[in-house]
This record gives sequence, C-alpha cells and structure tokens, in this order.
Amino acid sequence: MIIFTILAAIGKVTHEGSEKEVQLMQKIKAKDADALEQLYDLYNRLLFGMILSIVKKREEAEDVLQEVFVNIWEKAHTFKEGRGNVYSWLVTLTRNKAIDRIRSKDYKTQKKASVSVHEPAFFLEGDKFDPLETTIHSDRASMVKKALKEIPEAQSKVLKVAYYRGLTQSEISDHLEIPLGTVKTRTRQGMIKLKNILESFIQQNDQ
Amino acid sequence: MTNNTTHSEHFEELCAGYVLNALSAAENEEFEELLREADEDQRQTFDEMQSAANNLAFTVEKVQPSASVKKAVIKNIESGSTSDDAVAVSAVPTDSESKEKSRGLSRSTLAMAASFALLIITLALAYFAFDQNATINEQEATITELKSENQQKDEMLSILGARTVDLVVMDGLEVNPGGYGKVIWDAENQQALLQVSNLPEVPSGKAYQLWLIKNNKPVPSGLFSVQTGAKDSFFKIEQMADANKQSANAFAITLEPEGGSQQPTGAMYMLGNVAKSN
Repeated sequence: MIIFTILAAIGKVTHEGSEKEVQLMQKIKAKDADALEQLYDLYNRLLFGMILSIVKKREEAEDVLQEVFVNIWEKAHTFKEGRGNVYSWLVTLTRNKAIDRIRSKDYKTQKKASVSVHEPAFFLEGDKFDPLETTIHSDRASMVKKALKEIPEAQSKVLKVAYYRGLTQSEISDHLEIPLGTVKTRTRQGMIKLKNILESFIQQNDQ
Repeated sequence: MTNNTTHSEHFEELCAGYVLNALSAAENEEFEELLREADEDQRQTFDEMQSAANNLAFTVEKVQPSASVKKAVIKNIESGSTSDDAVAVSAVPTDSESKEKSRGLSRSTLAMAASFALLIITLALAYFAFDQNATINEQEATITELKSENQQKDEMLSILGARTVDLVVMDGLEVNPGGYGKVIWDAENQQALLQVSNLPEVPSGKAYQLWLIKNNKPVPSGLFSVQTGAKDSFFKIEQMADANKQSANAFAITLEPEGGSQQPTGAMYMLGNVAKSN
C-alpha cells in the first residue's frame, strides 16, 4: 500500500518538495508575486488555523494572516536556505506575529471589553474528513498527538496551552492556577520528553 | 557538578519556554544571550526543542480564511505599501535562530523537511486516493511509444509546429528518485509528447498511467510501459483531456493495474507542476 511506502520513506532525506518550496522562496525574494500566491495557496489554511487559535477573533486573525504574507514578501531575503526549512520559517514567523498581536497593549484593552468565545479545536479527532488533507500530514499529526499522549498529562497540558493559545508562563500559571515555578518545570520536562519521543518515532520509521 | 546541572537545567528551562514563545521579555533576552554563548550540546538541545515545537503545528486545525485575505495580500504587494511593522519586534526569526540553524540541520529537522517534502509532493496522491467523485467524460487518451529515432524526431518537429506548447518538467518521487521526465504539451490540439527516464520495468500485471491533473482532479491520460533496460523512452499522447494552463495543475505518473484505473491507486513515480506564470 502506498501509505506504507511513503511512511517508510519519511526518515529518508528527500528535498523534492522542500526544494520546490525553497525555489518558491527564491522567486519571492526576486519579487515574483505569482510565487507568493503559490505559497499562500500551500500554507494559508495551516497558518490561519495557527493564528486563529491564538488571536481567536476571526477578523483580527485574517488581519494577522494578511500581515504575515506581506511580511513574507518583504522579509523573504532573511530566509537563509541552508539554515532550516521553509516550513519552520513560516510557522515561526506566523506564531511570532500572532503572539505579538495578543501581547500588544491595544489588544489587551480591547480584550477586556469583549467576551472571548471561540475555542478552536486543537485536534482533528474523529472523522472530520477533508479531501485535501494528505495522508502524510495526518500521519504526522497522529504521530505528534501520540507523542503528546505519552507525556504526563500535567506536562502536556502546559505545553498545549502555551503553544495553541500563545500564553506566557505567568499567564499559564494564572490560567491553570498553579505556581509559576511548576509551570517552568513542567514546560522543561514536557519539551524534553516531546523532543525525545518525536526523535524516536522518526527513527523508528527509518527501519 | 551541582553548578553544571543547575546551569544546564536553567538553559533547558529557558529554552523550552523560548521555543513556545512563553517567556517574559526579560527572559527572552536572557535566553538569547545564553544562546549566543551556547556550546554544541546546548545548540543541539535548542534545535531539537525548536523542531519539536514546530511539529506541534501539524496538530493545529486548519481553517479556511476568507478569499478576501488573499486579494488584500496581492493588492498590498502590488501597490508596494509596507506592512504594519509597529509590533514587529519578533515578527521575523531572530539572529539567534538563524545562527543556530547555521550549525547544520539536526536529524529531526531533516526528518521534518523530508516528511514535509513528501507532504507537498503527495498532496495530489492522497487526494486522488479518497476522491470518489472524479468522473471521466472525455474519450480515453491513447499513448503510443515512439521507438525509432526517426519517429521521435518527426513527432518532436510536428509538435513544435503547434502555435503554443508548454513544457512540464517532472521529478522522480520517493519510490524512484532517479527518474525524471518531460511533457511537451500542445493543449490546443489535445496532444503531447512524453519523455521518461530511469523508470523501472513494470512488474507483470501492471502499467504506468499518465494523469493530467485538471482542477485538482486527476484525469486518466493513457497507459504505457517501459522496456527492459531502456533508459529513455518517448511516447506520443493523443486525445488528451481538454485543458489549458489555467485549468491544469500538473502531470503525474503512477503505477496501476494493467488495464489502468479511473483514479490513481498506485505509487506515484513522477510529478510535474504546470507553471502558472503569465
């Protein structure tokens, strides 16, 4: 079956698709608007999902998404090919933008005035089937979810709140009503476990 | 020893918070300083934690934004106006992040690049495998092998005489990374030339099938096989589906059962995207 062939190959290094993305980035550096459109088509849903889980209000999130892509256009030259892949660069840039937004003074004043309602689902549990979702993507998502389950819940909870909601450790401490020191310890232990588990999953796929 | 343990735990603690964007401003600064002075082990820890954090993005629920966002982005970049950089302190990956990446890709980063590469290149494949709605209205395309050099030359000249032709370069995929091919596509006349190299001989009971991916749906575009020991093979394709540069996304080759399939079921050997410039 195709899926096993592909899964077996996950550990092997191939730059086919990531090379295409790098090429897109190079074109974007050269101000090729078409290339930016293509990158938008590839990434908009993932990045919007990430922004929305942090910013919550849809209109605001769309604002941030727009900012992200204009930022990509302007700052493409800061993406260095040899130093990591396009995916990491985009995901990091997006998270930073979203988090900057919620930590800005304006946002905080606004937030007090409104009731935050939208709690986006973190996980694609069950059968919400999207034909454009690739098997690879959902396999990787399953892998990460599985890894999170193997971490003690106290730790994974802290990681989830930090990542999906973009809270600072002191905000997490308030939100979960646990001491700041505990938040730090759990974050540290959780991230160490997570990285080790993911490493071992990826290595397993090599065999 | 206590000092070392405390120091490395402290590094790890800050590192874990840093990759999650969960530190205070002061802690961020402190960590970035530590990162500048980090040793090899610490840099590796940082790499791996950063990568683990990025992996969390895979579990985020994708959400479709309004179409207006894309339009606004295009409009924005065309008019040359700048984005709002008022809070752009950390909007762009910091120097320390770029620096750590220059230490070389850690295993997990490579593995992630690999899996994401497959994600992109198999986007069509998984879609095909699940899409039950692909209907074939057109006449089936036919593929004829051009065995002699004369045939190849004749057909090449003939297709180059068309008003417009498009060249689609195909890359070999994971199951056959050494393979490559080209489609010289005369969309107006619904014909094409196909060249493939380094495709393995088909197992018995199987055949290669060419697909024209049109409006994100694969359209069967003929069956072929390759001779034992042949490095390069050339084919002519006729009665191709009606499509143009706008509607066509890509050409792909998969391995199917002998009579072909209505939708791709087998491994994809090659994929080439149709360039959209103009």
